[in-house]
Amino acid sequence: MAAPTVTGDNGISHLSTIPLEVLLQITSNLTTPEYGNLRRTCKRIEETLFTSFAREFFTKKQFMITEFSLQALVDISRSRLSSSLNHVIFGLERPSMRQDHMMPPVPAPQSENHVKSNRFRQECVGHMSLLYANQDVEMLAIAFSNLCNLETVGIRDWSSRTRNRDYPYNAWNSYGVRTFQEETGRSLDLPGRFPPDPTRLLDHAEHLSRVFLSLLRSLGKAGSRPKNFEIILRESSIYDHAFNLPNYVDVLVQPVLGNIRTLLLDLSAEYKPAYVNVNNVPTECPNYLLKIFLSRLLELEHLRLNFRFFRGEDYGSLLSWLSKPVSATTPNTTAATSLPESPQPIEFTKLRQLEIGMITVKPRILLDIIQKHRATLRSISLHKVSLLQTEPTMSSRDNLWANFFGQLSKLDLKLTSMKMSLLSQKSESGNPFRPVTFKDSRDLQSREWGGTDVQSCLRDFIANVVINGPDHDTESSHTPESEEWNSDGKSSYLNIYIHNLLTSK
Amino acid sequence: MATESNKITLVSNDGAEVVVDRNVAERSMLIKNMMEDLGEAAMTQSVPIPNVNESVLKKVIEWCEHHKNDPPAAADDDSDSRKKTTDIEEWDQKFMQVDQEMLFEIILASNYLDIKPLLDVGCKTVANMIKGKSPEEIRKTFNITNDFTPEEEEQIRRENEWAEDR
Repeated sequence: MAAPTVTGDNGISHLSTIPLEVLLQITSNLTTPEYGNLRRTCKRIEETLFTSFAREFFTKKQFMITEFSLQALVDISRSRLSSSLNHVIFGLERPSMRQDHMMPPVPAPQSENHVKSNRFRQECVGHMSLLYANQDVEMLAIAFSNLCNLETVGIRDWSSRTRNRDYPYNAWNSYGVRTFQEETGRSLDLPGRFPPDPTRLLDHAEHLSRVFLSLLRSLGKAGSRPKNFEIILRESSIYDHAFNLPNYVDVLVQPVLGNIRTLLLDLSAEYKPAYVNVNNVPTECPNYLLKIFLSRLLELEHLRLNFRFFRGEDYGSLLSWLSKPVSATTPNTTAATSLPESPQPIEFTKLRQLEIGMITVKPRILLDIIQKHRATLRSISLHKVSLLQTEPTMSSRDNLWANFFGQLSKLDLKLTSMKMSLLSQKSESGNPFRPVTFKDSRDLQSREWGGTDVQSCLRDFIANVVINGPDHDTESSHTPESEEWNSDGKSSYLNIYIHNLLTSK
Repeated sequence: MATESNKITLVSNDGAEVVVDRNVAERSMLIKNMMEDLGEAAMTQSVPIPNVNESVLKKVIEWCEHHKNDPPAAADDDSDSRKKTTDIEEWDQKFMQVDQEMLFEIILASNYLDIKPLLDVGCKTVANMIKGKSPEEIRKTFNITNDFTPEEEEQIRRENEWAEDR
């Protein structure tokens, strides 16, 4: 299109003197590189745009554990953008030789191919050295000590798709992902639900645990105390080994843990549970390390536990522990076995918000957890939770959820919000699986409430919650419908997959 | 007369009176709200537009005439803004082929008069003049003097890199 030309030159650029809101509307049409070029034209434009620029790109930013990405984080932390950054996320991408075995040869000119191949090799080797030398912890500690406004640290195995400016490239990738792809012609290794080689599940889990520990250690070294720790995983989940705190780590991370207000976790199946001594009987204790870890989080206000990819046997173990009163068990002083004691029950005396997801649990356990924290609890969210019917006198069609909400109304709760979504119930045999809907909800599968009158909310929930599913207690468990309603889409298949994998030795 | 009563008189900041159909003038949300507040009184007296001169006011009215039957813009269409393009319809492109002084005057007037679609076209026109250009080419286009030291410009360049998807 023919562009207007400069006329009437009076020495002042119109572009640099227009009001901020108009300048922002102009720049909303630019891609990030174009926006950057405009910022480079003169001080006046750059200064006018700076606050908006910093807010858009440097409030929340995703990196990954590679030298390139961490160096950018360190450099940013030393720049004037440092104070903007209050939320830092780490993606789980990494260069891996194993990944290369799965890749078809890149169709590129021979010489370019060799250059890219070398670049890839260099990246993989460099990544190993970074980890072996603990250089990631060093770099993270430098960055964290500079980031004075850091509030939230996150781990993700995905990228947010809200980068509007560079459509169709709308992902906020971990910094360095695109550069890696361009320079090596390959993609980074990232956890997936169904890797071609199943042993990679455990490999990815170990990497995740390592990243988690590196973050805690570097925060400790840096004297940084972010309030929120958010592990949000879609394709993978965190194993119990992540929560191990050996003595040499414990001292360093204790101040970090003691300051955490928010903890979001996507938990994985326990692949090798610890055994503890319960009345002189060796007893499986899933999430043993997590329980000890949680006991350190005395300031916790917001806890999310999503039980991703759990095996049936683990149902409720962690929740049942959380539901126990603190005084109920006293340490067994006459230990007849050489097994450790079961971790002591704890109470979060400041817990305001509780989110539980993707689990089958006895109603009593949930009620006990809520009752235990009712003095401080203000918000409850249950997502893909299935109540387990254990009463022999009840039929599988009895409405466990209406009953549950009725029990809640007796607890004198001081809630201000509740969210229920994709709920269900089932009997102990697992069958039949009965999904829950809410009458008159815009989305029938969920109900959300905010306000001060919790009793009226619960009356509404009780009046409108409907149990669906077959009329009779048939044993036809794997109907397509029940699959669809299972706790997490493909998870029943995945449970079998993981179970086979873990027991195949 | 019915037709007369549907016309209003706008007065530019250089004193020119411009008579315009009410529905055309009401493409401006500022004028529309003013009309609603004043009621019948507005039809009998002229409306001063203190921030806009005659030539710009006439140009803006020309745009409003052409677009008087446009459907009102859907409020905050998120799905659309996601794939924001800088496409401008042909008539508007021709309309915006003016010197840069006039272009920015139109933008400022549409901002003041609150004519969102015209402001949008103006901003897209300027954005298209920035697109695909180096910083030096942008400076040339908009008569901007580079007042950065090389060190300062280097710092901005690095910040830009961190902002990009790299």
